[in-house]
Amino acid sequence: MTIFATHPIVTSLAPEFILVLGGVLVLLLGLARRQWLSLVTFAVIALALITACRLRQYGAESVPQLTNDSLLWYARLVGLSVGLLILLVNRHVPEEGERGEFFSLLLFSLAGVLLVAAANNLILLFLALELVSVPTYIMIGLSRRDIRAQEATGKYFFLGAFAAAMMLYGFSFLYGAAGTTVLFGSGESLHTTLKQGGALGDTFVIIGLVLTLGGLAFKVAAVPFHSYVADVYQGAASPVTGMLGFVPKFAGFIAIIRVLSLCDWSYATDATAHNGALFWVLWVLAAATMLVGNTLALWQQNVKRMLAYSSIAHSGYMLVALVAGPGSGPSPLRNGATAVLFYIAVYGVMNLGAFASLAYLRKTGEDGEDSAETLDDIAGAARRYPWAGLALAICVLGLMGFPLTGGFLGKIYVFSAALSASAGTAGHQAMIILVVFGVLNSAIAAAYYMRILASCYLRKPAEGVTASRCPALRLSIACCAIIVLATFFRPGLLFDRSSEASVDVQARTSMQENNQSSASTATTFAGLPPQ
Amino acid sequence: MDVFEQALGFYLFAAVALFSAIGIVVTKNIVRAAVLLLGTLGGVACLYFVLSANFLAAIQLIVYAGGTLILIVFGVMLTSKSPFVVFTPSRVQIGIAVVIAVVLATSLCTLLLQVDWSATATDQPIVQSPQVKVVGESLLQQYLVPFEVASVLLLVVMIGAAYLARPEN
Repeated sequence: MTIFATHPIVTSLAPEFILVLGGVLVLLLGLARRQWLSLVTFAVIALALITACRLRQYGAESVPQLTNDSLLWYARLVGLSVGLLILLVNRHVPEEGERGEFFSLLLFSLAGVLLVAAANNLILLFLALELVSVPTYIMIGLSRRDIRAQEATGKYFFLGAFAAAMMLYGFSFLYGAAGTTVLFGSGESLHTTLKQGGALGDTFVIIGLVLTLGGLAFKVAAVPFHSYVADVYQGAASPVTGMLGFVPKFAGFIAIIRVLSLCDWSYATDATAHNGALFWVLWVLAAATMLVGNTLALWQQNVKRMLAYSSIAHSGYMLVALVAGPGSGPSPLRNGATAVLFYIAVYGVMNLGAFASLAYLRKTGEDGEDSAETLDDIAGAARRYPWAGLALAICVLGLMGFPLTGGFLGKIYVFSAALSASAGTAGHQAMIILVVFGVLNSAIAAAYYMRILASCYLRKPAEGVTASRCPALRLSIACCAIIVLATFFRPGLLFDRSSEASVDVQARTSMQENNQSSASTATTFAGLPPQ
Repeated sequence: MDVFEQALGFYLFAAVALFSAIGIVVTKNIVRAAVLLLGTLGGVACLYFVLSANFLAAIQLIVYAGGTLILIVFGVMLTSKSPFVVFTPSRVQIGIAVVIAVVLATSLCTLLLQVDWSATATDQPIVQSPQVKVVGESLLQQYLVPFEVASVLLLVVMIGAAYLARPEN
């Protein structure tokens, strides 16, 4: 470590460096078609996780244009831990000759997630978000051979390019309004400029923020950019779909938190023009996303499509917490940022577990062996494979928000944060309406989750369904189910970290113009004095 | 660069740009027109180089010759069934094009003739501008991390392109 420890950029971005270098290594090793590539990939992610823990312990020198806060630590911890699970689920997916490409793309995508949290610059934020998305487009295509996977790849890629263009357009407005690409900092930054406001500035800022949120809504699969979700989730192989439910969403929500922290976020504390506009935009997005996701999920026969629409609905719940904002109360239960960070981690695991259970049940169709997809395929699965059925049931109950699972606590945190937000202002009424709407939506959602459970437990076992023999897949399903239960019985393990991460968000939004030392931002990356 | 070299370069690249432009209008094959467009845009970029406007030349190459041209080629490839599409404009289209071309040419010529060029002309050779150096330094200092992330992103895109181009089974 001593040779690396000399350079501040390398030290502060050590986990990301490990992931990228590991990705290149796996790509090269893939040429030799080794069997133990997944093991190397596992070691790379584990090493990055250990490095992240050590960095947290000893602290890193802060580098301009890179953040160094608790949210970054949270992104590393959760992103890499769930990344390990994603790898276990996906171990059997790539074909023999494509293992190197597939696993290296997974590593690059995870590196992208971490860089989104580390970015303190619009340019880096955009590049990191694309580094998250572009590998996922290719992984969908690599995961399956049939025509629907190709369609999903094409659809996801073209719509993703459209969303990226829109986000970039928004970024250019923000840059135009502030004259700098630096997000936060005591010197010249978007955060300090946006706080000052101004008539012309406000218009540009609102246009910029709305376009940016639109692009990010695509990443988290929120209305109005949700239309791709069902086809893409259905087209990709189930393990990759499990990944799609977490990786782009996690990166998207971290980016949304960063972008929203630029202005004062909550409507109540500071009712400037762009906060008011933003509040209502997010409010409508959250309500529409919950409604569209849940009602469309009701009509599906295909479990993958059903879970795809439920994924939209879950983005809606998380948006409710974002509308609430980081709050000002001392209780962590009143903090929307904590709630959304907790929820996304639990949702990622529940969703991954559900798709992993689907991948565990193999059916032999006309074009070879494939994972179970429809309600008929999983009929009676619990009788033949009781453990897999139980894991599926736990994950689905978690998605439903049933007590004794982490999903229940996630919903409690989201709705309690929303209820206590903007108390005593006009926004409070709107928040109560939104919470009532969200609870009603959770009730609608129970209907289609119950159909999955009923099919799994009550029906006669389907013919021609076998179980996967991949040991890593079994291990990951067990891990997912245990984590979903553990987050209910020991929520502090995760909750403490998410409230720690949101402290910085909260501190930043309530930060006043306090220090004038711009010396740290003036030093360049290479550690040279400014010219 | 002395005046003679500059003049030589100007006429050479201006000729390339001009004849490519004529070629675009004359040819009926879309792919040929796209390649000739590269000649025009590249010629203009070289003119900027001759005039020591290095930054402008680089941007011209990246944005027009790189981005726009590739977009056009992709557009042709994705929308036409064969790469040898024959482009046959209708009479109305030709009419509109002629009107626009005449208006544009007249206004540009009037503008050129109105300016008193002797006031801006100097005998001094143009000094090499430091813009390129500044851009390069900020890429490797202030924007080092985005620069490196961009290269990782390009690696990923390359893997994707190789995957798309692989033979079927």
